[in-house]
Amino acid sequence: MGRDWAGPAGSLLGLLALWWLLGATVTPGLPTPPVVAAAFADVVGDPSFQSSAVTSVVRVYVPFALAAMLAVPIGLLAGWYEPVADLTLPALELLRPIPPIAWIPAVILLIPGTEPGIMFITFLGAFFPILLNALEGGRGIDREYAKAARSLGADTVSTFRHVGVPAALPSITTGLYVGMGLAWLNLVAAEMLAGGSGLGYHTWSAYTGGSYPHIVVGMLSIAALGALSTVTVGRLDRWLLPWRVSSTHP
Amino acid sequence: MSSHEETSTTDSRGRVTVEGLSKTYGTGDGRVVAVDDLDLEIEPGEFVTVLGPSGCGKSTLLDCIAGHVEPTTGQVTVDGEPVSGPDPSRGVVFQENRLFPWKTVRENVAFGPTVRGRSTDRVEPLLERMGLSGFADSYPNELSGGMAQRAELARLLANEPAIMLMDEPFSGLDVMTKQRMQVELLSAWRKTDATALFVTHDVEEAILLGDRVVVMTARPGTVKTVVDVPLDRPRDHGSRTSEAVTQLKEHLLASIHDEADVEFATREPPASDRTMSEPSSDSEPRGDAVGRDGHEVGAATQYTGEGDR
Repeated sequence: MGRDWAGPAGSLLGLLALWWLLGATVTPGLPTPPVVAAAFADVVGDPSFQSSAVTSVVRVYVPFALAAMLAVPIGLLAGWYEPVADLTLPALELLRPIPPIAWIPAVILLIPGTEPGIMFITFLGAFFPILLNALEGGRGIDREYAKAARSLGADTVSTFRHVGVPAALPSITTGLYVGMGLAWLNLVAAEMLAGGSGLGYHTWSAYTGGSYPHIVVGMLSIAALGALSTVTVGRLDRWLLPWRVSSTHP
Repeated sequence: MSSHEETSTTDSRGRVTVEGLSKTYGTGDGRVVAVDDLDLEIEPGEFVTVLGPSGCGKSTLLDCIAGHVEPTTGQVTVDGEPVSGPDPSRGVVFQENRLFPWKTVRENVAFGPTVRGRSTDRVEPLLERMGLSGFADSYPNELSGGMAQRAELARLLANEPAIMLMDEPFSGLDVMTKQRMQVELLSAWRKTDATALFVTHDVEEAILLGDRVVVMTARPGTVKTVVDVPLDRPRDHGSRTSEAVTQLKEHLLASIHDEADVEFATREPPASDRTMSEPSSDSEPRGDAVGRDGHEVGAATQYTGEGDR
């Protein structure tokens, strides 16, 4: 694999340089990379930090998986069969504009326990983008392929399985990328407001404790785990879509 | 099992009867009569080509026999049974390649038997016979146009259909590939006992392949004339240059251009210029003229109308 790493490395080094420059000039409060690195080295072996990271990861992946398992079939069927769309979409479209963060007060009041509440918020963040992309995928299926399948003897179920699902998969995996990103976004917001644990809470308590370096440590940890989950979805994408020679995703 | 390689056909599977078939699209001012009161009888095991300009309703006729389109009036029966929807006994090869992009060539060819719960034993020999063995694990987007149509033909043959319906399957191919595919189709068809209906706007193709050529008129689409092809089988590349083909081509071209604009007729090269050493110049531009290329022969476009339905 002769991939050229110069470009990506330059991009990351550029960000680092910009950060350092800003910290040294206009925003003196911003801890410089060495300071943050020291703080990170300090905290990385700390069990409470480690459990924060694990907690956040669980709070993302479990609701994300649930959202995908629900949103993909609903979106796909609604895109493929008009009656399913009529049954599901009006109600979902009404709920969709509510930002998941706006659910937090109601969730705190109505859902007992921190974990289910936060996971519900994360779930909402992932659910709608996955749903909408699966829906578009279902609608965009070239019906000529379905005609070909029918002429070859496929019934409704096997046409859906062999034509509907694979034809919609590129759109579905796009939804998974977006859903994963929004799951992290809403997780951090929920943890800051209601957390008690997790990386979002860690970052927020660093703020209330006035520890600038640890704020940045929290931010970068979230970034690293977020990037890792993008790679995970990318693996899934390539495994699901071997027939697509080039992928638009990283 | 009888096949076209044997002289007598005792199997009567695959008789297609089209009675008073009409198909109208749209309503009011946008109403288009694609096919009007069309009658056609195709004998079991016969190879019939349907020749006509784009927009003459020949694709609609094929769609009605395939069961993808419901006739407005009239009906299609196969062996006495009215057609009410698609069926694997009536296989279709489409103009644009309709191989499933997410399946390998092998999976595509095995698709019919697999979804029908039949044995896939014949898939490998079929891939072998169609020269696809080396591409069995490739995805369709890795195939050339000719290979893709070969794979699509193999996918149809894997179902052992009683009727093969082909809608200009070679029109997107370059001339050399197209000519090779025509001969390959004939040899593949000979190994079956299937009835074949092949839609084309290429006169030479219609003659080379068909036992009979059905010439259709446009707007409304109906049968103008049916011509027997006096050519022995098996046919191959050499058949293109036979006297019978040349004469029949003259006849069919005259029949088609009968209707076309005078301006177009005056642009035709004299008959003596059409030598068999350049079959492409004979079939291709002419096919385009009555078919697709609007800017080169604007007058012909008026005649053909828009869209092939």
